[in-house]
This record gives sequence, C-alpha cells and structure tokens, in this order.
Amino acid sequence: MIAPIHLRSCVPLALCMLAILAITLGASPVVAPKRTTPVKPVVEKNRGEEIPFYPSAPALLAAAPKGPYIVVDTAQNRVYLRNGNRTLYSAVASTGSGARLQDPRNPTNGWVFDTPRGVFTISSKIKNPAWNKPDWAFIEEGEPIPTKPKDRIETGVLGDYALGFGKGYFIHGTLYTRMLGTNVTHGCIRLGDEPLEYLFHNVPLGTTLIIF
Amino acid sequence: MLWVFFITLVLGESCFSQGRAQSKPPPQPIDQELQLAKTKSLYLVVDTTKNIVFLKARGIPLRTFPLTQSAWIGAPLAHSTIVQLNTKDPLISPIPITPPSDSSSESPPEEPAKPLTVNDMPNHYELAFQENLTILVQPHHLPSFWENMVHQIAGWGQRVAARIGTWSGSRQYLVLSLDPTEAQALYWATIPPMTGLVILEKATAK
Repeated sequence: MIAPIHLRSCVPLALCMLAILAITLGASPVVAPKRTTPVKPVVEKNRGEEIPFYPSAPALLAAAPKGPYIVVDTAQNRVYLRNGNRTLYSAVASTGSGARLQDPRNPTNGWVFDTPRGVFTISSKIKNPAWNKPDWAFIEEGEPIPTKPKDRIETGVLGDYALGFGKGYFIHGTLYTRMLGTNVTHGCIRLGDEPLEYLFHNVPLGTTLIIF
Repeated sequence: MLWVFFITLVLGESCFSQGRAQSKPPPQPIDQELQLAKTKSLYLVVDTTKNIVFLKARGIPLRTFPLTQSAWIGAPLAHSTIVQLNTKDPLISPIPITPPSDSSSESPPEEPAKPLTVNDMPNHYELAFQENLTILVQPHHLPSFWENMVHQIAGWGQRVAARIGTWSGSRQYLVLSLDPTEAQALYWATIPPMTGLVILEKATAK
C-alpha cells in the first residue's frame, strides 16, 4: 500500500530532473534559425595531426625538408602546412582542371591546364598581385590577343597575396570561392582569403612546396 | 713441377670461388629509397612486405594506398629494385576546351569543360615499367554484383595473359588489389616517367 503512494510522488520529481538534464545537455526548446545556404569551411581543424608512416630512419629524415613545408593534394584539392611529422594547418583549395586548349594560331601548339607535381620552392611573395594575362586567357575567352603589354594586366582577381613557385605558377586567392575544393584552375593553386593570408604570413621564402 | 701446377690451380680456383661468394650484395631498400628521396621528384614505394603503396617525396609519405592483396605472376624480382614508370594503360586524355567563336555575339556562353577529377580515373589498369616489370592494378571488389563479375572475369583474363607473357621470361608481373577508390587515387598519383621502388623481402610467387 505504501509503495504506490511513493511512486506517484516521485513522478513530478523525475520530470523535473529530466527537464534539468535536458537543459544541461543543450536540448534547448528555442529552435535555432536554419541556414539557408551552406557555408563551406575553407580552413580545416586538423592542427597538430600526426602524419602516419613518417620516416624514422636518420638517413631519410636528413632528406626531409627542414622547418615548415607546404603539401598540396591535387586529387582532394587540399593544402597542408606541415612541420616535420605534424600538420599545422590545412585548407580547401582549387587545383588544375587537366583540360586542354588548342592554339588556333598554331594547331600543333596548345596548353594543358595541369598543376605541376613534384618538389618546388616558394620563390616569391607578392602583396596585391596583378595578373599578367597570358595568350591562353584571351583565346579561352574568344577575345583578341592584345598587342600592348598594359592591356594584359588585370587587377583584383588573384586575391590579396600570391606566393610564386616558378614558371608562372602561384598560390593565390580567388573571386570564385564557391569553386574551392574542385579542379578548375589553369594550373595555379587557389585558396580562400583566410588561408591565403595565413600562408603568406607564416611561410618564408625558400619554403619547400610538395605537390602530388 | 706437376704438383706445383696442381696446387696453383686449386688455390686459384678456391680464391676465385671466394670472390664470387663475396660478390656485391643487393642494395638495401633504405639506401635505394635515399637515392630517390634526394631528387626533386615524387616517387612510389611498393612495399609488398607491409602490403602498402606509398607516394613519397623527399622521404616523406604523402599518400598511402593500402593493398588488400599483392601477388607475383611467375617469378618475383630477385631483390628490391628501383624502377621507372614508362606508360599507363588505359591513358586518360585531357578534355578539350572549346573557346567561344565570337565573344561579341549575343549567344549564351558555352558550358565550361568538365574538369578531370580522381573519380574519372580507372580502377583497373596496367603500369608498365622500363625494367620489364608490369604492375596490374585491380579493384578488390566493386559494389555492383554484375560489375564485380565483369571485373573479376577481366582480371582473370589479364592474369592468364600475364602468365603466358612470363613464359618467355622477358617480363615480370605484380598484381595489386586495392579498394576501387584507392585504385583510382593511385592512378591519379602515378605520372610517367616517375620512379618507384619495389620492396619484396617476403614476396610470394603465385
């Protein structure tokens, strides 16, 4: 006879406790407004992540870059800043489309828009870079190739910074941020504003760049 | 006099055979890799002892491709060897861009050329190396039953052809089975004339 009375009195207490637990765990009755457009993160949170199978043999370690180095994955369109066996920073990028453009002036000539792969060095750092448009940029757009060099210069399309790694290839910014994460470039490596600024300020000239 | 001649002959032969026994041992894989790590190029390390293919540069692993199986058709290589990639088969050609004929016209702009991605790469292919070595890359399994069946039959056919190819003794074949997406990524990662190192201390002949 006593037990049912105790159970009945326990119900409101249990409900109160459940409510406190729910609020504590974050099940707030206030519904957060839904985002209408998904925001693609350009910086990924894998800082300090250890690189598996990093060499332990002293001879191989001697061949590895000293200090920070940049790694670009053209298959996944990612840029990593690493130091030794640790990833310090990673971001979404855009790399070469692999498409081919034929030169209408000379059918045997053409361009393949691949990001070069191998080991390179950051050889230049430029603030507010301007694009000196090559012939293919005009041919691709179906425009006449200008005769005056000043007509090739376009400003504001490469972002705030550019890091050169030889033969006219750069890591630079983009106006087309929604294309980040895809293979769309003419061989350069595009980054969002934030990771570009981070790399510019944290990567000295002479830094090793490995593109695969 | 005859004795002197005989002893000289015997001693000479024993010295010669000692020389043969002390002939240069095969280079160690670490030394071979160091040779590749000193270059400015990417290179592959096909490690059949760990069943992993590594894509590396300067000694650093950039990407790993775990193998579900690796097997030699016929006799394996005698020891770990540096090889140079000659061709890939099939070869994926770049997609051509068609520039607009007249930018001043009112016609709507043409669709940009679809870029090549890793998903466009094959998962069943051959990597032919200059050193008479061919690596046959095959997907371990495919999600669709019929696709899987076709690939298995094609794989058997390829292995039979490879087996016949080994009869002349001129070519060696290594079959690597990978997850299909890993096989596509490996195709993307390999660019002739890149070099590679095949490590095979515990390789098994099939």
